[in-house]
Amino acid sequence: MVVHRRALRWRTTIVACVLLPTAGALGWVVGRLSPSAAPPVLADEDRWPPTLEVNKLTEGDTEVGELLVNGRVVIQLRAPSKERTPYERVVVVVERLKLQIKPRDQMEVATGLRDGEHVVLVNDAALLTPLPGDLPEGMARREGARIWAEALASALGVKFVSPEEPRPWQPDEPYEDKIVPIVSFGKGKEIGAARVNGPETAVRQVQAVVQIESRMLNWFEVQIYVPISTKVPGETITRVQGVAVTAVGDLRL
Amino acid sequence: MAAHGTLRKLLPPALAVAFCVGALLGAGRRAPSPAEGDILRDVFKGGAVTIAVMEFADELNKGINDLLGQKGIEVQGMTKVVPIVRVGAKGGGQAGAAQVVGPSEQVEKVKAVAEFELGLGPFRGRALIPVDTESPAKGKISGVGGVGVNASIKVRL
Repeated sequence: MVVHRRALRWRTTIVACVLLPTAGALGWVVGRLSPSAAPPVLADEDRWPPTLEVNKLTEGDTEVGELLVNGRVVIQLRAPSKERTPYERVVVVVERLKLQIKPRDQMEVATGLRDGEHVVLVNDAALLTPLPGDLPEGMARREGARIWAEALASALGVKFVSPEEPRPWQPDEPYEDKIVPIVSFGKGKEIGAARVNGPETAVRQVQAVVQIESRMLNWFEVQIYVPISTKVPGETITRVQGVAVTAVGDLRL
Repeated sequence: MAAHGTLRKLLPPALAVAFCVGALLGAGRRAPSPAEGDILRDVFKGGAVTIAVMEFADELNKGINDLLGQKGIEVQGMTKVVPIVRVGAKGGGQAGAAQVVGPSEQVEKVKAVAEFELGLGPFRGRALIPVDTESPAKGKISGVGGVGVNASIKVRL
């Protein structure tokens, strides 16, 4: 019984002197390291809108203009254009870039041709044209534009559209559908219905689709659909351009 | 014996293909008789429609554009003739061809027109969706925006 009590006291002493301070120290360390205890640190590319700065350096006799995005040097210009020094060129780049700043998911950087020159594009607007003196000797301007575009997209944290990547087609104006009657060519008899699709201003003009039938190459029967802006075709018909048929229907008798 | 079985299996499709090829080759030489037309019509309902369409696609495209030009209603934009492929409950298969029209960058992507048959009471409809695959019945269909159908073409014998 005495032995048992002594063992109990020793165990209590060990817990009090060793395990509890160790557990406390561990808890303190974990607390210090937890994210809630430390102030959040944003990665450079997470800052939005980005901080855009221009820096002027001199390398020997050469003036160098630097574009900094969130404190990171992204582009260095060394060649003067006809009207501007390298530094002034970067100032113009920053002004153009500020105009294109939108929510990040609506921005993209790409390269393309403008007036025969390879350029860096932001949201399809020309931002910068590399000049021969800006690039290492032997580097093609197309390659230089691509490298700058990739660096800029990375610094901004936006999408870079590779020149090889097919760009999604964007119409000049929204497209819409409309259902109109199909009328026969000549008599103007109603013979069915068609769904037409095209730019909304053109689709609004369409009142009917004229069906012209023809036989070609002995083997083929062709039904041509011509969207028109009147309900009944006259002696001559005028096509509403830009509109085409995406469905046809008729009455089953 | 096994060779005999294989031969029996392969013979009908081989004959059908040979018949289609012969019909196509002969098509340019003379018009078929009504009896021949009945037989050929059935044969052409298969893959031969696609062969015929692709064989004559450029001529059909030009023929339609010339006809519209004569009437003063020519199309602005690029045109192209592609096969129509049926999709849906009634199963796949070629259903003729279509001349599609639209911006050149979009028309170049079009490989076929997917046809969906729709029935609503007494009305029967055909949705015609230009697609960027030659076999829309086999997978996910993605329509090519900005392109529509200008003409529907059927093989008649």
